[in-house]
Amino acid sequence: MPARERCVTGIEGLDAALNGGFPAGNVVLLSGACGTGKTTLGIEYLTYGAARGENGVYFSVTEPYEKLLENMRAFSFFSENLIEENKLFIIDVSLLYNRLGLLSQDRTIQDIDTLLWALIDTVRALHIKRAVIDSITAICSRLAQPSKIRELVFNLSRMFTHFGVTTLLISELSGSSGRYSTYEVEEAVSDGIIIQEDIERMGNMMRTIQIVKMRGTAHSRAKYVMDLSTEGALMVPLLKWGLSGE
Amino acid sequence: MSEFENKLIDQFNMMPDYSITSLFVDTDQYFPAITNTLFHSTEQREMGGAYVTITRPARAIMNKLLAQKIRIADTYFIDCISYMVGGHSMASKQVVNLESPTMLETVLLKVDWAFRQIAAPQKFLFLDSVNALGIYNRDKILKEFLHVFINRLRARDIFSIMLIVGRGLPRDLEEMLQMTCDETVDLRKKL
Repeated sequence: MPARERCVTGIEGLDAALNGGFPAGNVVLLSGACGTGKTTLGIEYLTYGAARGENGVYFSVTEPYEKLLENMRAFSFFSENLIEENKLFIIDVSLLYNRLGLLSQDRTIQDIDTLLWALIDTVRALHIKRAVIDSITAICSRLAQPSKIRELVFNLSRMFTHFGVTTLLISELSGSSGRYSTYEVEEAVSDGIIIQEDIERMGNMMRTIQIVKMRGTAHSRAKYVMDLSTEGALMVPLLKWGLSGE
Repeated sequence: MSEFENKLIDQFNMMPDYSITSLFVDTDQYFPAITNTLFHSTEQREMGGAYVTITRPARAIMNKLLAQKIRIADTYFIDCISYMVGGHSMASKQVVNLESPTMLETVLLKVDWAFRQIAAPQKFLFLDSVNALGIYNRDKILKEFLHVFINRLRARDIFSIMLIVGRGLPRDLEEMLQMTCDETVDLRKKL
């Protein structure tokens, strides 16, 4: 079987754990509670690609454009030139809702279809190769018919893959829920699942990251400690005695 | 120069560039041990390095070294203690502060960070000290950490000194250091 083309994340430890990066075209669910580093990981992933000729888009549902940009400026790997040169795009989904005339707080499946096609058109028009949707949870939360969530996520994943986009769907979880996603359908239609969580050791919190599933590649399933600095994310395997603290 | 310092310098001169050594000293030789290690690494071998400090805050160590006119411009300090004791952490590009010495994986990551900052082609690592890490970490995780740490340093060809002060180290931890380090230098006075 020929090796799948890789989408190198630029995050050294993650690429090593994935045997070279995400299989190109995969839709990966990145799940975790707030503060676990999902947004930072998404930004680093897009920036690395954009700097190497793979256009990226960040669909921000929860944060306004300016606030997100301000956060990005703190990282040494980020360059605003990537935005000016149309290699990296940040799209505020709340503005997109307004532009599409979707003003009601509760969305019908038709509204979500309209949004879905707007996202797909954006990806096609901007020749996007990498996308981050932050967050799929926020998009789904507006859906008045929760039974349609599976259809939405499935269609979105299928279309993005069709256009060769390697996508991170960010999923917000509350604390240690023991689940991979809020609606428990997102993981079923994703090609990969990465969990980010906090663990406590003797009163100190540490961020961890673990690849639970990734279609198209052998990968590590170990838990890693992740450190976020202005230079980006760094990873190292969690010490085996690190959970019990014995 | 004291007898201790002469012995230490003799030992340093015999160490290959890529060796990893566990260095045992008495408590009253703590400062001569750190100043001579840094002098030898930075001045004699012209290396840049990472200094992991758990025993004392980076500020105190740096002041001591600068008072001895030891060149530390290319040495980066991973301070595991200032933040935890509530002291003023040092705002310097050469110092990174950890919240706690129990965050052992973060020590590994910050050492990697330090190695990326160093300008010199050859690098050293100084762990000050194994005993101080033992105050905050249980034996099993400390042994695992040292095993991982030493082997990561070996894989990167880093000249490394693991400092052990006094005689309080558990026997099995001492044996583990002897097993994983290339050299064991014991300059403690005979009992």
